[in-house]
Amino acid sequence: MTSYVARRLLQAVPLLFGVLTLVFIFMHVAPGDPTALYMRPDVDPAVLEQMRRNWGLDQPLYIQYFRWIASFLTGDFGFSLTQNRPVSDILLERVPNTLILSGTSLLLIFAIGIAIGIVQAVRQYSTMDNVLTVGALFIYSMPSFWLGLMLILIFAYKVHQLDWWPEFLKFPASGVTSTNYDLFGAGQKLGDRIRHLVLPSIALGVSSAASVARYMRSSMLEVIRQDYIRTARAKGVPERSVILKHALKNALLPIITLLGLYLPFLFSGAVLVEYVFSWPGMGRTIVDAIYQRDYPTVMATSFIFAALVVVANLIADILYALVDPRIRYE
Amino acid sequence: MNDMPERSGEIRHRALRLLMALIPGLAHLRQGHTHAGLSLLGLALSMITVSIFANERIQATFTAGRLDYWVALLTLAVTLGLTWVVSGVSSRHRLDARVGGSQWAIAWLGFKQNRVAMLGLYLMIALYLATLLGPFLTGYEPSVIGDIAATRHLPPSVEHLMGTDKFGRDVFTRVLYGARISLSIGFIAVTISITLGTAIGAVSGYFGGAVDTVLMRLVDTLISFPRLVLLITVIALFEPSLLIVIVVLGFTLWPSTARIVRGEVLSLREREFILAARALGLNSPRIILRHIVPNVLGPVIVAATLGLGNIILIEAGLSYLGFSVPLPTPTWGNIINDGREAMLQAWWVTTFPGLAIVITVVAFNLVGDGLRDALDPRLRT
Amino acid sequence: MSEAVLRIENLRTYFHSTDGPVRAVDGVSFELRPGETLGIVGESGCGKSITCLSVLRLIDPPGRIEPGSAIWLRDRNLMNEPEAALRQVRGNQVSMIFQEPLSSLNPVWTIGEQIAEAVRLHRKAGSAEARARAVEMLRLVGIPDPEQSVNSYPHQFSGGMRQRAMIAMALACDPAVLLADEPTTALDVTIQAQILELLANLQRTLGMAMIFVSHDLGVIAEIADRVIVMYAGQVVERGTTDELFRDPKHPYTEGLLRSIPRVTQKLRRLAVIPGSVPSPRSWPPACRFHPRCPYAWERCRSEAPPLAAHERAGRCWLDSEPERRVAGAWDALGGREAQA
Repeated sequence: MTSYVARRLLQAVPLLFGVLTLVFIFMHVAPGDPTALYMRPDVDPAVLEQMRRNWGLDQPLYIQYFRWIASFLTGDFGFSLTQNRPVSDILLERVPNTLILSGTSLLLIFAIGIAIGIVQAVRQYSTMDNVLTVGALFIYSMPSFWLGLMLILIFAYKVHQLDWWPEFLKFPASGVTSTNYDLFGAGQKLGDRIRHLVLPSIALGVSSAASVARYMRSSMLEVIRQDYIRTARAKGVPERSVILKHALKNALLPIITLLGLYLPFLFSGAVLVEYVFSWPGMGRTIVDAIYQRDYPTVMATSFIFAALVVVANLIADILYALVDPRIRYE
Repeated sequence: MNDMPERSGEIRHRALRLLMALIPGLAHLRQGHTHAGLSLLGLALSMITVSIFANERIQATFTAGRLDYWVALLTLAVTLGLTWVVSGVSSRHRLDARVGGSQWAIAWLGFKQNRVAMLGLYLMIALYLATLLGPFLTGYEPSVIGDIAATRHLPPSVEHLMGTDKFGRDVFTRVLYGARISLSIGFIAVTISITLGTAIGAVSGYFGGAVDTVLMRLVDTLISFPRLVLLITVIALFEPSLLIVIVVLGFTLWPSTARIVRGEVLSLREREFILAARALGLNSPRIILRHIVPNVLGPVIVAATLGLGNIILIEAGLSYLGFSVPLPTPTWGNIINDGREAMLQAWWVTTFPGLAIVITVVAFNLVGDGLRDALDPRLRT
Repeated sequence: MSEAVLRIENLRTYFHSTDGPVRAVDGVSFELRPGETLGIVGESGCGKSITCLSVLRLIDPPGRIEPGSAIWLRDRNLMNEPEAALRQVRGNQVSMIFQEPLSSLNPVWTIGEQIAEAVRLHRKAGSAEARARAVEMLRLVGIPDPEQSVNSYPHQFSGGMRQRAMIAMALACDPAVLLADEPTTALDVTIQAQILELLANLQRTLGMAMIFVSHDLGVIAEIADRVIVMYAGQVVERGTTDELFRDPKHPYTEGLLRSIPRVTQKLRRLAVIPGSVPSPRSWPPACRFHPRCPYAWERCRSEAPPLAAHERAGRCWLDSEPERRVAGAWDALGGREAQA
């Protein structure tokens, strides 16, 4: 187990360096040198010259590279001219929002996907199974941003025209909190945040949930065929426990590895969904930064995205080892 | 007296032969191949219908000489011609894969029996035809702004199947022309990424060692970036244009293919026929091209089809954010974005292009799943 | 003769597909007395394993035990019992062990948890009590250091140890009947002998009845008191182990016996029964063995022989026409095969 985790860690570190290197290359592929990114009419050429010297752009490339890596690793991501504050400040404010949104979606994805997958596997080829399979196909062929817009159209706008529609099923169309959030009590604040999370997390998660359901179905079907399921039945274990105790844990093993695979997909979706719902997270940040040609922010955000994926993969691997005794006792 | 019935029989026979040669699909229907017969007949009839109804436009084409119409006209002619040729040739020599068929023939047979996958295939063909015949299927121009006051935000009706947008443009027309961007970007980008991925995966798997390590670390690194983040980061460095979008999509989406191919090659490398080829002293490029690539083609084709659906979704996302083909060229993504502000008054502007995306991606996914089942029964879920 | 603990009457287990039923088990009857070991022998595909699974009613669709079959456990007909009652029987009164110990044990639960589960289910025991029972059972089946082993996972055990653990699990609730479906087939020969000895010992000390399924007559000879021979979903011969080995009544049994290598017969080459078990989708008409039988004549092809109700019986027309059992028929058949 320790050696397994150590090996995974050793794989993650060079990967992070790879990510850093790639971002560095992007910066230098950009037309002109990195100061060109700051080249705006309102910036004095003398300031740019000063920057060049500060960044050591007169130095050889490899020295620039190491200095740049050192600064990134210490959390110095440069300065955003459009927002007039360090990029790390912006990120510190935005990253938690993205993590909350993606985390909620991830929970939703796995809870719903796994539950549906189990039902489909247990009732294979039933009408319900077929309906769910077709439904899943449509759902994961849907662009998340469009689904988000449709959800807003229906559950934030149209339902306000219906008198009979229950108040608690009308959701806000954008933002993290209501404008009068500060006036709420503690319980109301939590409720308000949750209400704001509902539509974006559904828009973000539903297509992955459909795909998890599909994997879960086939994984469960595979497990149900195994000899040890027959053994459990021969022991007199009730069917419910056969599925939920003996089969589920085995069927979940391959699903855990999906956790790491879905995160990049989820983050891609987050870029769009955050834009649709005006959700002030990293996705919204990177899009706005590109519109404003704020390159330091673009590069730092995309680095953080990739770093989060690397870390999530590491967590998924460790989780897998914890659940599978065959790896735990290697 | 005696040859009368024989003669009339022969006449009837000849008439039938003539009819079968004239009407595509009739021969298939007579032979009992209902499926193939009806498809050919349907295709020919719809093409003829289009050319009759679009007669004015066809005439206008020769004077106006706009590229759009030329492409459409050519498609019309070629499709019509092809239905006849295919009908004639295939009714005479029906391939029977059950008797000594190759691996591909067997896969095709399996695919044909999968009705859902065939539905996807028909949808896919219909989509490509609709795209190419766009100018004949609609009477409006996609980007020309007309009398805004009179035609702004009209709800769906017979004249405007999907309503009109804030500039009074016909949404159906824009969706139809938008399909060109989506489908062509998808097709070219997938071609680039699949070729690149297959080559890199095959080289990496075949040579192993340091080459493999370096290439696979590169793959790991690229895969660590969320696709859309990688794409917009790179596109941000350039001015968005059709070319840039295609190139960036093509050059950033190859890693997953490379991984699949590498895995296949690793298992192939130890098989007898590769060892035999090496023992014969064949050189590496030859072994890779002649022996390895054909054997990984199955999974690659599946990945390509599923990848097409995926790329269409990604491109829609990019153009929704405005990082794809610049306005006023319609793409599904930017039509949705256009309709966003006025969603409450004109829901149709955002809804229909989205549905077009869903249907297209469903079609590609159906075909992809069908191909996977047909090419590799082990993977069936 | 004591009352049978398990009596199977006219068991028919069919698998229903679109091209008609597959008659895997087709009218099997036998009984099992307290404390005895009944061997069931036959080639693979003749319905032995399905018979065992049918006893526990563990047949999944499209398989079905046909109406008219009866499974008497003492005085209860399991065919009429609801699923909940069947669960009380499984692993409690009737247990089963399988051929592949690795794949039959759940890889993500410890051996102890898997043994204790049966105890908790059937004895309504608490978890400490169930665990203590698991340790006791592991000691009983001869697993070294049971206090530690109880926390091990199946992949940490060797093949023989896994089968011992399976046996411990099956016997944890003192079942009256143990169904052993080829429990030694997947093991090395030396381990095989140890497991056989263990099973024989446990049976003697615990006083349970056992059905031992095998395709290997040698193993059967070692462990069984009585034997039934199955072919094509039917019982073709039954008798005590002694009777059966000394004087087989059915040509199929004869053929099986001939295929055991013997030290005393030096010159004869090792014989096999020509052909293979026919497909259960379409058993041969009349006597199901006739296409492979060296003695077969017209009657065998036109009329199915019955199985007499005696303790000792064979399903063969040779019973009424013994003069047709000519010496050398097998060798002639072998010769025919060789020429063909």
